[in-house]
Amino acid sequence: MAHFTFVIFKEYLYFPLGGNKKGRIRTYINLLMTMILGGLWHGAAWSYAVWGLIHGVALAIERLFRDINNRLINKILESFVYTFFVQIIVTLAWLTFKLPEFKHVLFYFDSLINNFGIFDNYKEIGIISFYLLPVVGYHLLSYLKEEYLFNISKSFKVLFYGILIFLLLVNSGVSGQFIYFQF
Amino acid sequence: MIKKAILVSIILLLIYEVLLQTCVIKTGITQNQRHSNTVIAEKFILNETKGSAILVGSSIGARLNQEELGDKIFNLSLGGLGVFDGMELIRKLNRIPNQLLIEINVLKRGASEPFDSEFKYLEVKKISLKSKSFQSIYQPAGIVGEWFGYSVIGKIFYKLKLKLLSSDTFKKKEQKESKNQFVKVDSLIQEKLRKSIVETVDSLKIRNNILKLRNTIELIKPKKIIFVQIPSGYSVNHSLNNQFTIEELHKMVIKNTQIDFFIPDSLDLYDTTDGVHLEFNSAKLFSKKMKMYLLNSQ
Repeated sequence: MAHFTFVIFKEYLYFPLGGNKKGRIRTYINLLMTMILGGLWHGAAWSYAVWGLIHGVALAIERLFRDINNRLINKILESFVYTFFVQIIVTLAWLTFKLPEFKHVLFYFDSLINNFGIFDNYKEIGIISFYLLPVVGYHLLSYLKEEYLFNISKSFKVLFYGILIFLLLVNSGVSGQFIYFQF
Repeated sequence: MIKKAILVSIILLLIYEVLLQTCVIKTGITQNQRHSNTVIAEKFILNETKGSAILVGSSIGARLNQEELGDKIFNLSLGGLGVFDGMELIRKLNRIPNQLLIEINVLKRGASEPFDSEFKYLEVKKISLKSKSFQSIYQPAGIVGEWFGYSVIGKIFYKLKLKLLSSDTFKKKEQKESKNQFVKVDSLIQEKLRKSIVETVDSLKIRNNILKLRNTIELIKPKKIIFVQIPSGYSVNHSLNNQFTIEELHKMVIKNTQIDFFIPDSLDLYDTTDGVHLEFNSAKLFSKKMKMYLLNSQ
């Protein structure tokens, strides 16, 4: 759904604005405009506009670095560090979507910077870290597979999929509402 | 490969079921409020004892202490939900309690459709719950998470905390935070909760809900109903909304059902964590008082 929406914005907003055909500066502005309007498409609130602005700025900076075409910068852009950086930006930007009011987002960021008492919640941090492990493992495996042609044996795959089916049966939990039903 | 994977999953399921049936396993943690509600509801479905007391309510009632309440009172209070959700489950299961305790703090909250749909096919649910593997409390992620998250990863963070405790920067930051941070978060929570409970006085909605409550009670047919006012912050307990609700409930008459009220005389004995929900020791005290009241009123 989200991917389909992005195609629409590319076709009917980014390209009519000139896309990347009208020079570097216009490309950056076009990226920024498309993402801000894309954000506002989700609802008439500042949170959505800021979400779009964050993504627009990030895309424009990425394009700027690619345009410089420096070997070192290109290496960084292709590295794991860059993937990690993008992940953090995208995750933090989701806060503007999830929290009901923009002031809550500011409080959240304030807490991220100042909340040193976070270590009091060491049990909760432990549990969250545990639940994150499969996601990290999955991405790491996928990365290794692509980068080093890491071949997983068939019997391992059978076991892996077997475990997944088992977990689906006993650990499915309750379904959350699909985010796009809210719009 | 798909057939083999399915076979592996069935073998794993059987091993897991044997483990749950034979070993003493510390029950797992829940993922969120909705999952906790499912766990409580499933526990209620599995609890076949009839004729005892059942408390229905919201997160305010959910704070009450089970140890103090004892085995004879089942606390079917559901966080984020209300009395109608619990009563609907009682009705579907046809469990007729001797005493039905109804929390009156959040009567204006109607039944939740997502919660109801979870227990739509109750007979199928009852069959699936016979296997411990399919009970929400025994989700492997919860059990492993409790052990691995608390004991292994949690310990690393605990050690990190102890190390940081010795540093001056940490001490200063923590002092600053205790002054500012909690005040901010607390004010946000209180503002939201108080707005939803205190400010809105919708007499028509309250009357409608009481009518709905009366209809549901008539379907359950309990021998005795006790309307329970759980202590909250002063402004919540003394709100016009609350007073109006109690006045309307006093007018209620149901054939073959005795109606009683358990409303605390003084609020000075109780503290809340956020202006609405009782803190641990106050919840313990109120639970004890409620149990004593029930024993004396029998």
